Amino acid sequence: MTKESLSEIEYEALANLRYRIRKFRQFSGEAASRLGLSPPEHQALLAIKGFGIGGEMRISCLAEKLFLMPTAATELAEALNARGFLTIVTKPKRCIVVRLTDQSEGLLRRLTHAHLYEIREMAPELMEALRALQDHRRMEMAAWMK
Amino acid sequence: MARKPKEDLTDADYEALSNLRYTLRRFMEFSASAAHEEGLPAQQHQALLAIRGYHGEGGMSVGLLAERLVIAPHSATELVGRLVAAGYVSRNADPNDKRRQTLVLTAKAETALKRLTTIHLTEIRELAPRLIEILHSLQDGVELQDDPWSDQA
Repeated sequence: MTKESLSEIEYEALANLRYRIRKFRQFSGEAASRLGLSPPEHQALLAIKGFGIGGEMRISCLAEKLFLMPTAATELAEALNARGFLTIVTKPKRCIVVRLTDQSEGLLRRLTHAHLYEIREMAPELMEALRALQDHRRMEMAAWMK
Repeated sequence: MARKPKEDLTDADYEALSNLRYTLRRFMEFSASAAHEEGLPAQQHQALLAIRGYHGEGGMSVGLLAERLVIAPHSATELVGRLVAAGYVSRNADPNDKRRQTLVLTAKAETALKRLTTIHLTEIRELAPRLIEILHSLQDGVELQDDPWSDQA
């Protein structure tokens, strides 16, 4: 870093970005709990739906997507399985795959709908916070290149 | 009786939303580990940033900090207690309202936060275009009905 000091705008924009992210996560947690899911349970279902193929995914991949230790991902999957939200299938070579059920697909559809709605409300503010940081860096790079 | 939404969600909607959450998680993992290297728990780092980045009148109070961190007021009080004990924050009496205290960063906190913010700005240069793109794709998706919960009984 060549720069000596950071500007007030940068601190403010970064603080705003984090605040927006927290508010979004708060909304998301409340929406999930409204349907009886904890935030990690909701994120697990969403990751399987969005990153998996045909509603299924290896448990090792789920752990990676959620930034969880493999044992924690397994516990989460077992809790979801106990409530009928996931099936757990052991494939050859001890590869464990988790699959969404009709029940969890239904929950996830409702939750995702609510999230898309919320995102359209909050996206402009979030994008503004991101652009403030980006534009500032760009201007600074331009000044530095001169 | 449950009613289906006007339009059904597509795989692309789910994919974009999981991408958004994954990207945010990755950013927060990065942030927490950067804070940790600076010797700060993630929440303490966020408190310092919230105090430093607040430019409203009257300065940052404990109540306002709770609001900005989206935590309960008593948690904010405890958090500030830990930051004061560690020498990162001092409480100043508001000259206009003696019962109100404003939170001010110490030189030690300024130094740590400056390093952390510099690292974060570098990371955000990579992250911002990707996040903006994902947000755009989420905005352009299906037409949504007015009440997102109306398909529930």
